[in-house]
Parts: sequence; C-alpha cells; structure tokens
Amino acid sequence: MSIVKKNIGITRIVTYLVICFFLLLFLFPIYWMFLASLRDNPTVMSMPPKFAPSITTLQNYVQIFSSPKYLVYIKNSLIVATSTVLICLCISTMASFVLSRYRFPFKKVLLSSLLSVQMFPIVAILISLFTFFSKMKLTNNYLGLILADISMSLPLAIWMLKSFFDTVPRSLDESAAIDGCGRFRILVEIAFPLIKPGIAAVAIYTFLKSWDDYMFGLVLMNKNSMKTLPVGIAESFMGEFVHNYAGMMTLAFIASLPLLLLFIFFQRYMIVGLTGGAVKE
Amino acid sequence: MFVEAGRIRWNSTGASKKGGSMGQPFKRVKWTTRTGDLLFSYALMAPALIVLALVVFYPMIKGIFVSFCDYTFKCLNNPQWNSFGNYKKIFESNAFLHYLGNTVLYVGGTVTSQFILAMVLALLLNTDIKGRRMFRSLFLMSWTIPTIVVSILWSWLLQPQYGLFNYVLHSLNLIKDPNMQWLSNPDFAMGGVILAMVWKQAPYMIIMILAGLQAVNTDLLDAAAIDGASYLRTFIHVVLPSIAVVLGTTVIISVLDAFQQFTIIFNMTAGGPLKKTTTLSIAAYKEAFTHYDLGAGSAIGVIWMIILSTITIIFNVKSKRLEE
Repeated sequence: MSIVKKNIGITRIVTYLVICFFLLLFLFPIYWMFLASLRDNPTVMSMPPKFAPSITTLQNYVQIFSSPKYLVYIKNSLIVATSTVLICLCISTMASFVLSRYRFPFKKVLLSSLLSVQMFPIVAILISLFTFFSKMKLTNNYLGLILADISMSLPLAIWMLKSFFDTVPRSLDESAAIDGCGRFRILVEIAFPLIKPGIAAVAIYTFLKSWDDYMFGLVLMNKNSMKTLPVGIAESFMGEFVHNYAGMMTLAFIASLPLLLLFIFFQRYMIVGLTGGAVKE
Repeated sequence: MFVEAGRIRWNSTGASKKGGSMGQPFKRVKWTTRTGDLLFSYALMAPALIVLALVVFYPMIKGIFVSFCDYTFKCLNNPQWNSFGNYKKIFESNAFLHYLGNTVLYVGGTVTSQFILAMVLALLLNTDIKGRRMFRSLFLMSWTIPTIVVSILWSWLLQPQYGLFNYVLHSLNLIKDPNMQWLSNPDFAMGGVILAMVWKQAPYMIIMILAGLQAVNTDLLDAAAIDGASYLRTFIHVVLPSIAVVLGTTVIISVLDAFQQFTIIFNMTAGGPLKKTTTLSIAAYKEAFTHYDLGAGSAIGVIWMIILSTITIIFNVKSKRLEE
C-alpha cells in the first residue's frame, strides 16, 4: 500500500511541475513585455537579461500618452470597438431569438450559411469590400469599419445567443403570451433578462475580436486621423520605434491592457462564451 | 416597439378580410398569428441579413466575378473579361502551389503542435489537482493578447542580438551561435511564425478540450475502473469517443483560423525571407494591395475558398456520421 501511495504522491508532484513549467512558458512573455515597458532601452537590451522585476523609468508611458498621434489611435479603437459591441448585440439578439423560437421558411439555410461565413477568405472579401466601400464613401469612416467588424463577429454571436435562448423554457413565453404580452415584449422583458450571461459572453467576444482587428483597419482606414491602434502599432514598429524596444513594448502593453482587464474581471463569461458554442452539456 | 405596432395593424386588417369571407373565428386567429410570426421573424432577422449581405456575401460574389476580369486600380469601374488571365498568371509560375504548400505547412504546423500541447495539458488539468480553475484562467491569458501585439512581442523575443529566445537556448547549450537568425533565416522563419501562433492559440484548445473532458460521463469512467481497465484502455475506449465531437469542432475551428491568419505573418516576416512564409492570405493581399492587381488577388481567394469549403463539407459529413 505504502508504495502505491508514494507513487501517487510522485505522479502528482510531476503533474504540478509539468503544468507549472508550461504555465511559465505561456506567461513569461507577458511579464517580459510589461517589465520592458517600465525600463529604459539600455536595460531592456542588456545581455545577460535582467529577469528580476525592477522599474527604471516611467518615461515610456509619458511619451506615449503625451503624443497626440497615439491618443487618436486609442480613441479610434475605442469608438469602433464599443459601437461594434453595442450594434452587434442588438442585431444578434433579435436574430437569435427568432431563430430559437419561430419556424419560418429558409431557416435551416440561414443557419448553415451563417456558419459558412467563417470559411470565406477574409482577404478576398476585403478586396471587393475595399472598392465597394470606396464608392460608398465608407473608407476612412467609422461606420465602414464598424460594419466590417460586426459582420466578422455576427455569425458566432448569433449561434451563441441562440443556444442560450434555447435554454429558456418555452412555457415562460407561452404564459406571457396568454397574459397578452406581444412578441417583441416577450423578447425584451421575459427572455432577454434570463440570458444575461450569454449577453456578457457575446459582448466580450465581440469586443475582443473588434479590438484585435488589424486587416480591415489596415485597408479601410488610411488617413492618420482615422487609423486604429493595431495599425498604428504595426506602423511605429517599422518606423518610430524600430530600435526602441522599450517604447514598442509599452505601446504593446497599453494595447493589451483593455483585454487583460476584461479577462481578469469577466473571465467566467469568457470561458462560458468559448466553450458554450461547441460543448453540449 | 415598431414591430409590435406593425403586428397589431396587420392583425386587424387581416382579420377583417379573412373573417368576412370565411366567417370562422377560430381559423381566423390561427391564420393571422402564423402570418404575424413570419413577419416578426423576418423583421428581426433583417438587420443581421442586411449587414452580412453588404459586407460578406456581396463582396464575395463580386470577388468571384472580378477574378475572371482585368481588375486593377487603373480600371476599377470597368472590369473586363480577360479569359482566365488571372488564373493563368497565378498558375503559370508555380507560385500558387508554393503558397499553398506554405499554407499547408503553416496550418499543419500550428494545429498539430497546438493539439498535442493542449491534449497533454488538458489531461493533466483534468486529474484531481488543486486550483484547476486558477490554472485554467492563467493559461487563457496569452489568448487574450491582441494578435498584433503577439507578432511584435515574438519578433522581439526572436530578435538575434537582444532576444530572449537566443539567450535561453544558448544558456542551455542548445545552439552554438548566440546571435542565431530566426525570422530572417529561410529555414526557420516558418517555425518562428508558427511558434507565435501556437503561443496565442493553444490556450483556446486547452480550454475546449478540458471542457470536453469534464463533460465525460463519470458513470462510464467508474464502470471502467471497476472492470479494472488500464488508464490507456479507458482513454481509448471511453474518453476519446466521448470527446470526439468537441475535438473535431475545435480542430476545424483552429484550421480555419490558421488558414485566415494574416496579422502574425505579415508583421513578423511579411511573407519572406525568399517567400518562405508567404501563405495564401499574404499572397492575395500582396497581389491586390502591393501589386495593385485586384483581379489576381481575388482569383487566389476564389481557389482558396474552394479548398476551404471542401474541407468543411468533408468535416460536416463525417461529424454527422459520428453523431449518428
């Protein structure tokens, strides 16, 4: 018995060690980026590297937050991402409610064509979208990028919310309908409050995708005053910050911060959103 | 509210017409409810459909159309049929096969390494360890980092003189040259962009597989344990069949993701060196926006779509068979 117990103890220790080793590999680059943002360039580029946490300067943050260029990029990204989340939530709640509750012609076709959107090559869409939006004066226009970002999140958002609406018992709708509640009020007052975790999951997912978007921003916004943060980061990596790794990492960390904060406070919903679509429980 | 008002109006007019001709109150109510349902459904679907039609389906169809045309920045308003000129251009130089090969290498490399890594970690996290939720959250952290930041962070880590990667490998005596080139070396550049992608995307797979493992019916596991089945046999005969659907979905999502990946490659290597990391998405982008040949770019996109839809259709057919 004692040998068996000892073996179990050893395997458990090995399990922890392996998990912690990989955790270190996954987390260290984030730590390293954050550390570089608090250091000056000679420290950042010193060899051998200084791994211990130490702060030599806050100048990097001062430099970025006092430069109007980067403030504009951050502002644009915030405008686009929050509008995308709000509009996408409205559109996908409505669509997913009727997809969950009503039967109508072409419903199956609609549901499967929603999923097919994901396998369309985004670059090919982008090429025609660029010429189309240029004609419609939607390039260098918030609305154009917002529409593009919405359409990238919409299919999965609808599927996710549909699976949440499916869990709300139909008897609730029916009793509300008998009490004289109209269809739209059933959606707003009965079903919607019951799927708040789903709404949170979709909101976070949409924000993540929109904040992360680089390609649409790159092609649809080419005026400096309209560029989003990811495009701005890529440009300064080639230009202004080409040998300034401390500055580069500061900008990179600032861009990651909103998502890291969302993650720290709302990770429960994030995990629900991630696994809810694919795992049937 | 607008829809609500519309429904009521519809009901009253519809009811009077139908009621007048048939005179059966019961049928009348049913008929108007059904029509109302339809109108309500289409009205609420409409915004989603309009956005997708404008931004995805119309450009896609237009893309297929212009892939058969002379379509450069000189003649944007007047695309002319050029008898498969774009497709000839792509296939003539064998460039397309080269790009396709790179794409397959990139997709295969990222998805396989993600899968192995995620499977091992998910199985370890599924044992009776303490703090599973904390570990799960910590692992997910790198997944939340924006893609552009991932590409810049890893460009820095892989930088020959000041990068951490070379320092660590050299201290462990794994490489001889302390200033090894990675992203500018034709042999290793692909490995570099795969590494960055795996770092960002593997956590997603860990979470998915772990969720699948935790949904495995414990009665089955207990029964296997009582029958004295070994760990390996239990895994192959009980666990694997239970998580097959989750694995399939996760893998296909990762394949589609890797196929579409543009940001990481474009910002780390820009498709180089020697076009060794030029995947289909990089090639289509460059054809359209660096060489200003939108027709040829679209042609690459069209062939790519055919390949992806074939993969997805095969997957759907197979997964349907699995579910049955």
